[in-house]
Amino acid sequence: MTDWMNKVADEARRQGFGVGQTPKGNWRFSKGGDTWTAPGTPTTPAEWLVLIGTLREMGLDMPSQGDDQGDDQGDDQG
Amino acid sequence: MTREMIREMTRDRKGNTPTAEWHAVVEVNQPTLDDDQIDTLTDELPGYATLTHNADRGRLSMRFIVDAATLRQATETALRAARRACGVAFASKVPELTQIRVLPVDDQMRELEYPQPQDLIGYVEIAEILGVTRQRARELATTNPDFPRPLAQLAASPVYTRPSVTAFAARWPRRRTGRPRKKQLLSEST
Repeated sequence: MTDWMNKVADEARRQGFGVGQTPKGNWRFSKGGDTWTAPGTPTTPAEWLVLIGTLREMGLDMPSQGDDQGDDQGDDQG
Repeated sequence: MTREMIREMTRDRKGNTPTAEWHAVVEVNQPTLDDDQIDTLTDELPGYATLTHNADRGRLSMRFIVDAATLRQATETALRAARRACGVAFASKVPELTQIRVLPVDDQMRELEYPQPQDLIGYVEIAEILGVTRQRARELATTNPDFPRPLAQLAASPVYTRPSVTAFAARWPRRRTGRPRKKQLLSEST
C-alpha cells in the first residue's frame, strides 16, 4: 500500500512541498518553515485519521484512492 | 447512576475496564527537527505517529493514537508517551509542553467530516481591520514575518482566521510614512 503515499507525495510536490525520506524511510515534506512527516500508508481507520488530520493541518487535500500509480519514491531519499 | 457505577458495570470478566482509542496531539517547544530526530520520535511514539514542525514558531506537534479507558488515562498516557519519545530524541533537553488535545477517535472523525465553521477573511477584510489599502494588506501579509499564517491558500488568494488578524492588528506597530494629510495638519494647528 505504498502507492497511496506516493499520491500524497505527488500532491505535496504540486503544492510546492519538498518531498523526501529519512534514513529509516519515514516520509518528510517541507515548505518554508513547515515540515510534516508520516511513517507510511496507514492500515487502520484510526491511523488514517492521524494522517488525514495532519494533511488537513498542512492544507493538503487527500488524493483519491481510486487509481494506483507507480512505485516512485521521494526525491532525496537518504 | 454514578460514573464509577457505569465503569464497574462495563468491566470485562477479567476485571479490566474496556479501552477505547483516543486521538492525541501533543505540542512542544522545539526550534529544530532533523532526520534522526524524526526517525527516533516516529519509532518511540505509540503506533502510527505523524509530526508537524513549524520552524518560525519553534513548535513541534506529535499526533498519534492511544488506548485508554478514560479521558484522564488517555491524556496521561499521551503525555507520558510524548515525554518519553522527546527524552530519547532530544537527549540533551526535553522540550517544554505547550499544548495537548485528546479526544475519542469517533469525535475526531466527526470533526474531520463536519469541521466547525470559522470566521475566515481575505485581503478586503484585512484591509478594513488594519485601516490600509488592499495592496498594503497584501504587502503586509507577504512580507511581515509577524503576520499570521493563512489557514489555506485558495486559487484566488489566501484565507485567514479573523481572530489571528485582529490579534496582529492589536500588536502591529503602525508606522505612518510620507507627508501628513492637509486635514491632519489643520486639526493639529487648532
